[in-house]
This record gives sequence, structure tokens and C-alpha cells, in this order.
Amino acid sequence: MKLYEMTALELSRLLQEKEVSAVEVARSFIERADAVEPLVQAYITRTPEEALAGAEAVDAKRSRGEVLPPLAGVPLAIKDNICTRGVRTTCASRFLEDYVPPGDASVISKVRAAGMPLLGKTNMDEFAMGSSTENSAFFPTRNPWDLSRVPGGSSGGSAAAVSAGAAPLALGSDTGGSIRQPAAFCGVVGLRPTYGRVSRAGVVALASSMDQVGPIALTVADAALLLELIAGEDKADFTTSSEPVPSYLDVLSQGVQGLRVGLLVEDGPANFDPAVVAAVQKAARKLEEGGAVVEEASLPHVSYALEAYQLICAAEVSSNLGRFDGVRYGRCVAGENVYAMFSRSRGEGFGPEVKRRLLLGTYVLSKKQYDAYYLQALRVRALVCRDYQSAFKRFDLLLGAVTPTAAFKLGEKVDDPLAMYHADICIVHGPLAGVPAISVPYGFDGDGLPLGVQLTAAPYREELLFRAAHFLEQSRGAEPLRPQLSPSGL
Amino acid sequence: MSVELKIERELDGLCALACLHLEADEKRRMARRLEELIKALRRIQEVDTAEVEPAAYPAALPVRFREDEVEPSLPPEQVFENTANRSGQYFHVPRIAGEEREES
Amino acid sequence: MKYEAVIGLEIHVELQTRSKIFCGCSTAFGAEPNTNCCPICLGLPGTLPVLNRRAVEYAVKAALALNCQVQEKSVFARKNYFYPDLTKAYQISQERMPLAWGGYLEVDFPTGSRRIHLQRVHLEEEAGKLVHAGDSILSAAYSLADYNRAGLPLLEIVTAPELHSGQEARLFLEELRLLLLYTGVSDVKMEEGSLRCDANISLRPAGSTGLGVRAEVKNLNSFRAVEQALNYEFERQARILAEGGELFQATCHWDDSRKATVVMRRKEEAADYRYFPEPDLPPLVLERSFIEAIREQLPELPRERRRRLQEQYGLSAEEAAMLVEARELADFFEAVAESYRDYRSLANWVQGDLVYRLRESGKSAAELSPAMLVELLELLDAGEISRPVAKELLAEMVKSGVSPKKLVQQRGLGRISDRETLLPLVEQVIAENPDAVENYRKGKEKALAFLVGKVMALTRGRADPQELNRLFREKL
Repeated sequence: MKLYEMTALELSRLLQEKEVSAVEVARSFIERADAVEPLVQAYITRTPEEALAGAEAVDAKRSRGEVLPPLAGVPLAIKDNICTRGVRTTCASRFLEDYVPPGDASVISKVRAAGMPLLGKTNMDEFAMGSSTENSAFFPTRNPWDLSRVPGGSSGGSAAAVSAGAAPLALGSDTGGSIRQPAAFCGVVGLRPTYGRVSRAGVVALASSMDQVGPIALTVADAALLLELIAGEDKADFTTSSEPVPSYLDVLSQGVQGLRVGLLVEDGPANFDPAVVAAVQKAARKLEEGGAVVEEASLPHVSYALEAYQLICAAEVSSNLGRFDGVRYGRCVAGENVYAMFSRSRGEGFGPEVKRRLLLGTYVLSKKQYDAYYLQALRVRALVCRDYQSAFKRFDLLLGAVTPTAAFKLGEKVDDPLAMYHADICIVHGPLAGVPAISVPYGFDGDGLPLGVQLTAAPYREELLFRAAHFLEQSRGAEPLRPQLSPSGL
Repeated sequence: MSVELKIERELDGLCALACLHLEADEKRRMARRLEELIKALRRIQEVDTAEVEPAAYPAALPVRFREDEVEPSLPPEQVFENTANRSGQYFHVPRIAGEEREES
Repeated sequence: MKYEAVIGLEIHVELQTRSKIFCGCSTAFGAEPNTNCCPICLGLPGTLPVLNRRAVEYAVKAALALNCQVQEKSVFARKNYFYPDLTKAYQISQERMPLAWGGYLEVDFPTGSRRIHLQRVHLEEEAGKLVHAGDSILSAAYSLADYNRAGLPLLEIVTAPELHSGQEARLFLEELRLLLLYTGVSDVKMEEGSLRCDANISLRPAGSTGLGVRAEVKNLNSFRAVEQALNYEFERQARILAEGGELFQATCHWDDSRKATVVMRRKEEAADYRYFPEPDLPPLVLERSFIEAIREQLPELPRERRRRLQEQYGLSAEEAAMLVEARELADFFEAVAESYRDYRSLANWVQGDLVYRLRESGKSAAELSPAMLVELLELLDAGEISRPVAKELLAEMVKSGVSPKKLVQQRGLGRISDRETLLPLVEQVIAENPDAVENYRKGKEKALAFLVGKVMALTRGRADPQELNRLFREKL
């Protein structure tokens, strides 16, 4: 087995037992990326020298007998909206094409301190607005399972990199499904943590009240390992929680005996692929076989969550993106006065989806529309929160679909924003309530494309997600899913 | 139908508020898209929320403070690292000319 | 028709924290441009505000001193607009749910004392500073931005429209400045911009209660400018009304060199700032105990102090006001008064010679040792030094900080009363002034005083006059 085919946990063991060096591991992933990148295009910026330097430092420490964190020497890919000191952070936008942050995001400080070599910055929808990575200003990323299909988005590059073996682990960000949906499309595990579990400091904001950074991994155990590293209170982010971070790996194998699982009736309307509905039902049966109690659950207001999510997201976007005016950084286009300069810089720097959401957000926050749209969205959000609170009085976990279908074709929805938004119907209501959710690969559709199922837990109960997802993963067969991506064969 | 007209009329104002320049053809497409979107989003008004307090935050978070201690600022080379608008120790900005705004 | 001005003020005060409100950059005034800047106050992508505890404490303190109702829950909101001095295209402020509602400040006006009510007090962040190339923003070909100021903590105080003249506005601001100085939350230097004020003024027929068309006056950089600009606006509006003209809502700019307001723009529709709750900062929830702890730290405020100084030391209202106005002087007065009980004499010395000498030497009363003044006054009272010597010693004490006793020793300034020293001087004066001696012998008592004065002059005031009297009588 090649090193790039191994899970992070396996690599961690080999590294700790000194059977391989961190440099060998890093080199394996760099070479794999060299081979598959022409096909997949998961990365915007690759940093092989930095990865090797990081790996060398880990090897030097290990040879001195230092005890290192479990992920020391395991390389990592990073979504390009997470600031990395000295490495350009573009958010897949023309506006920030050459932007080099002066410092690391808090999560990057953590992974660096833990000795994870950084492989590079992954592609995404511009400013994380999109569900296919086709809104990248630079190029689309392709799904390693079928290069004519999208990897999902907005963290499409991160999911595709892990799926293609171009990174063992990746960081993504999830505002309205941007980790879970690409994970499902690429057959990997993606976790959106509780809002406040992981620091947002240094993560370029989409919608501040919903953004969360989370792991994308081959297995549930790998995701647990990475979350454990990046979670926790951060003095640079007042919305992080002081809730202690448990050892997720320790509880992974506790099974699902006695867990109360609510099967969401809202997932599975007529336009869902029957294979998706079947996968969810099969997962429910498996959980039952494992001793869980499965009953139907309902979140009555989630049918309005899509609208609430879009309104709140657009409102916050319109404010968050104001800082991109061209004065202090980013694209700057001359103008006869300062407002012309601002407007032109933004007009040239932003893509169509970004402009759409900017204007929509400006509209819904304007005095005349504020109550009817933005405030109403916040009220619906309160109802969705209430729905979740009462569901978690009855259930430990909620089970449902991630997406109505497997990965769609490149270009299929790019000109139809409403259809694109609608595909996020199962994943936008969780973020409104700040609850954690995981997407775990489970089954395939008729075309052999991977499908995921989604588990949701109450705030700060990520360990329940890992237990149940791990159980489903094991029941599926312990091997990670791998696409038949053969560079030489294509 | 009336929505479309309204958005098209409002688009210049929105662009001014958002400081966003759109080319003429972009503008036409944008008006159509926004109109579709807003029409779809109007569905949210069906929900009866008369008794509901708006929730701007996903959870109640405790108030936190930073102690009043001075931390190092950025050295000038980093302050100006990402801009071409440096003029000595300042950022250069073009004419402000009162409060007029570009009508785009 | 006679008109009455209706004036409301919107005041911004920079709180004197060490670091900015949402980041750790220094707030020091006068640093090189763009050197007190970090990713947060420059608005770099991904940065988040981290709220300064002291900024909140100072804001609460000021609000309590202004008798406001401090809210247990206030919410930061984003005020969205584009301007090159703003690094995020929004200002974090408190719009719908401010830190405090209501409150008042009691001010002594020539027409008597009145409570001026406040509408609200809230916290927000300061914007950067623009330097315009050219005379003004209107003619400038370009501007230069300095973000050192961006993110300084600001307290916004909005009054009800209860002031009725430029003079009242100035007196209100002076009293507010003093109050903030006493609470220690700001250095309130208008010339450094740490206290700024915009004014709204409208006119109505004297005696009526309605509100007229309002003008907002900006660029008021001194208390004097506030008074002059409002008086100017009053005259301008009154003239238009008297001529039957129509006023429109406008923003005016005070041109201090021309002593006139310039109408900048007609306000047709208020700007749309698209306020919404700041998602990066949880609501500011303050425990009652937090607020009460700050209330307990409130120092004595100017108004109370004036009253107490009058009662405790028998000072006149004017004397008390003068001392309170110059806080260090009042502090010094009270420190001396702890061990020196002749308050009347003390007050005279402090208002007279001390203030004069302080001004002369450019020093503050805070630099003086109260014990030294006690020493000086006790030497005088004990007759060990004369009044002229005391005045001389005070000047020297202020200038050099050397104690009066030491000065007396060093310079031999003590009183001369020994016979051996004085007798030769008495004999000399008798020899040099035969006419006065003759007059005395004729029974003119005044001549004695003349002779004593001559010896006093020779000893530069140090001779004991009683001893001299005795010696002259004896010799003549």
C-alpha cells in the first residue's frame, strides 16, 4: 500500500513507530498530487517546499526523542479562505488573487504547532459562495469519482484532494453545508462542528453567525483526530466556547447501543434520488441493528430554512465583503474619485455569484425591506432553533440525507442559481441553529457515485456524531472509499 | 411583473449602497436574477412569527473581554505589503469630493 | 417676531484606554502615521473584534456619572457605509440597544441651574484620519489615510434638544468636559480631537413648543467655535425666517477662519446604514454587580465638590468653582487644608500668589508638595518670616521645589530680633535722618514709623518691627 493511500491514523502510527519519516509521507502526497492535479485541480496554491520543510522539522524533533502530537508529520490541505502567513490566501477570488496575509488563522497556528506539514491551499467557490466549486474565479475542480462532475462546494478542493489521495486530511469551512456536501459528493467524511467549537479568527468571513471550520477526512477516526486538534476556546474569537474538548478518538468504538435516533421525515421529498432515500433508510436499519432506537422525527420549520439561510447569509455577506475596497489590499482599479475606485475594484474583483449575494444582502437590509426579509429570517431562525431544541429532548441524533442526489455534472446548475441553492435543502437548517453535523459516505447511486448520510447532534455533542458515523462506516466495511482515479489510464 | 420593474429601478441605488460597478449588460442580467431570487424568498413571509423574538445569534454566548493591554502593531512593511496605494507612511486615496457617489 | 433656538448636541469622547476598543494596538496620540495598526484595525480579511474590558468599564462609569440607566444588555451593531477612513466599510456601534438610556447633566447657566437631559450614551469605534491635499475635502485632488485612530474607543452622548443658545451649549460642554475629567475616562482634549461635538439647531417663535427645520453644524473644534457657530446659525436662520424665506434641513460646516457656517448639502433622505446585529460580538450582557462595582468607584463629581468646598471651607461659589475647574488646584487646596486650618488665608494664598506663580512657571499644582505650603504658612503665622518674605519664598518654592524652612536657613531669611545686629542699624538710620529724628522728638509718632521702615528696608524686611520700635524709643 502506498503511503498516500493510507488514513491519517495509519500514517500517525507508522510515524510514531518510526517506520516512515515525515519527509517520506509528505513526498508521497506531493508526488501523488503532481500526478492527479492535472485532472482534478484541487489546489489553487501548492506549497511542496513548505510541506517538506515542515516534515523535516518533525523528523528532526522525533529523532531527538521528543514526544510529538499524534498528527505530527501528517500533511494537511487547507481551504483557501483560511489565512496562512506568507502564503497567498485568495478565497478563489480575483479580488484577493495576490493577497498574502501577515499572520496565520488560529486553526493554522494549531496545526502548525502540532507538526502538520501544509501541502497547499485548496480550490473553492469564490468567498465560499456556491455548492460546486464552479464559482472559483480561477478554474473548476473535478470530482475524482467522475471528472465530468463537480466535487461539490464550496470546500470542493479540500474534499477532492482527500478523495484523490492528494492530501490525507483537509480543512474546509461550512456555512450552509460547504463541508458536508462536497464530502458526500467525493465519498469522504466531513464534519461541521458546533458553532463556537472551532475558532473563526483568520478565516475570511462569509456569514459570521454561521461560519465554522471543520475537518474533511477519509475516515471518521481521522476527522475526529483533526477536530480534537483544532477545537477549543480562542481568545481571538469571542464566539468560541470554553466547553472542554473531549478525546473523540477514545469514544469512537462505543457503538450506538441505546442511542435515540430521529429519522428526519423532511428529507426525502419527491425530487430526491431514490438511491439517496434508500441509503438513509439503510443507515437507519443498521443503527437499529446496532441497538439504537430509531423513530421518525420532524423539524416543522425547516421547510423555510432555505429562505432564512439565504437571507441571513446574503445580509451578512453584504457587510462582510465591504472591506474589499481596494485601498489597503486586494485588487485596485483607478477611478476619478474614491467611490468610482471602490466600485470598479469590486466590480472587476468579484464574480457574478458574489455580486448577486452582495446586492441581495444590501436589498434585504435596506430600511424598506429590513422587517419583511431580514428580521423575518431571524424570526424563522428562532423557530428552527426551537425545532432543534425540542427534537434533542427526544433524540440523541438526527439522521437524514446530505443532498438530494449524488454529484451533478459540471455546468449542469451553474446558470440556475435557484436550482443550485435548492440542492442545499438538507444542510442549511443545521447552521441556523448552530448544531454540529457529519456527512459520512454511505452507499452509491445508480451511476456508481458515492452518497452520504447526515447525522446531527445537539451543540457540543460531536462525540455522538463520531460514534454513530464510525459505526455506520464499520458496517459498510472498514476500507475508505477510493475512486478509480487512474492518472495513467486517462 | 411589478417586482421586476421595481428591482430594475432600484438596482442603481443598491449598486451605490454596495459600491459595486456593473456593466450595462451585467445590470440587465442581474436585475432578472435578483427579481427571481427575491420572488422565491418572499415565501418566508408565509411563516407566522408574530410571537417570535428574532435570533441573530445561533446560541447564547457569555460576554467576554480582552484586558486593556497594548500588543505589538504591524511593522510598516507588513501594513503596506498588499497595497500599491502607499504614499510615504500613508495610504493614498483618490479625490473624495464631498459626499457624491458614482451612479453606476 | 422673536425666535428661540432649540439646540441638541451629539458628542463623541475618546476614552483613554491604553489599547484600542477591538484590538491591542496602542492608543497613544501623535505616533507616526499607520504605525499603531494591526490586522484587526486595518480590517484585513478574517479578523474579528475582541472587546476591551476597560472601554466598557469607562463607558459605564461615564454613563453612571451622567445619571443614565445603564442597560444590563446592549447589542453591538454594524453601521454599514463606505468611506476611505473606514477599514471594514462598517462601524461597530450600538444602535437599537445602546449601553445606556436617559440621564442628565445639571448645568449652571446665567439664568439659573437646569438639568439638560440626555437621550442615550453608547460605545462605538473611531474611524481613521484623512489628510486632504489642498485646503479642504472639496478641493482636494487626493487624500491620505492614517488608520492609527481607527478603532479608538468612542463614547457617544446625545442630548435632548434642551439648550437655547450658543452660550448654553458652551457651558454644557464645559461642565461635561469637567465631569468626564473627574471620572477619569477621557483626557477630553478638544484640540487633540478626544472631545468632539456636532450640533443640531432649529428655531421657533419664542414661547412656542414646536420644533423648526433643523440644521446640523459640524467641524466645531473648540468650545468657542461651538458658541460662535450656533450664534451665527441662529442669526442666519432668524434672518431667513424674518424675510419670509424657507429653511431646509441641511448639514453645515463651521469655517472658523471666516467665522461663518457653510451649507454642505441639503439632507433630503437620511442615509441607509443597514444596521444589523454584529455577529462577531455576543450581546454585551453586564451583571448588576459589574455595574454596581463601577458605581462604587465613582469619584466625587464637580457639582458635589463645589457644594462641599463651600460648606466645608467657607468658600464663595466663585472660589469653589475656580478651584473645581482646575482640579489639581482643588486637590492641592484640600491636601493643605488637612493640616492647615486657616481656610480663609489659605484660599487667598492659593487664588492669589500660588495661581500667579504656577502660571509663571508653567507648573501644575499636582507637582507641588502640600506640606511645604503648610510649612510656609506656619512660619508666617508664627512671625518667623514676614509677609514679603513669605511671598518671595512661595515663588522660590514653586520654581525650585525647595522647602521654605531650608530656604530660610540657606539664605538667612529668618526674622532679625537680636539687639547686637539691630542696634548699629538703628544708630546708622538716626545719623542719616536728622529731620525725622527732630520730628519724632517734637512728638510726631509717624516719624518713628518712617525710621523703622528705613531699617526694614536695610534688612529687606527681615527685622522684627517691635524690637525696632523698642530700640528707637530707647535711643531717642
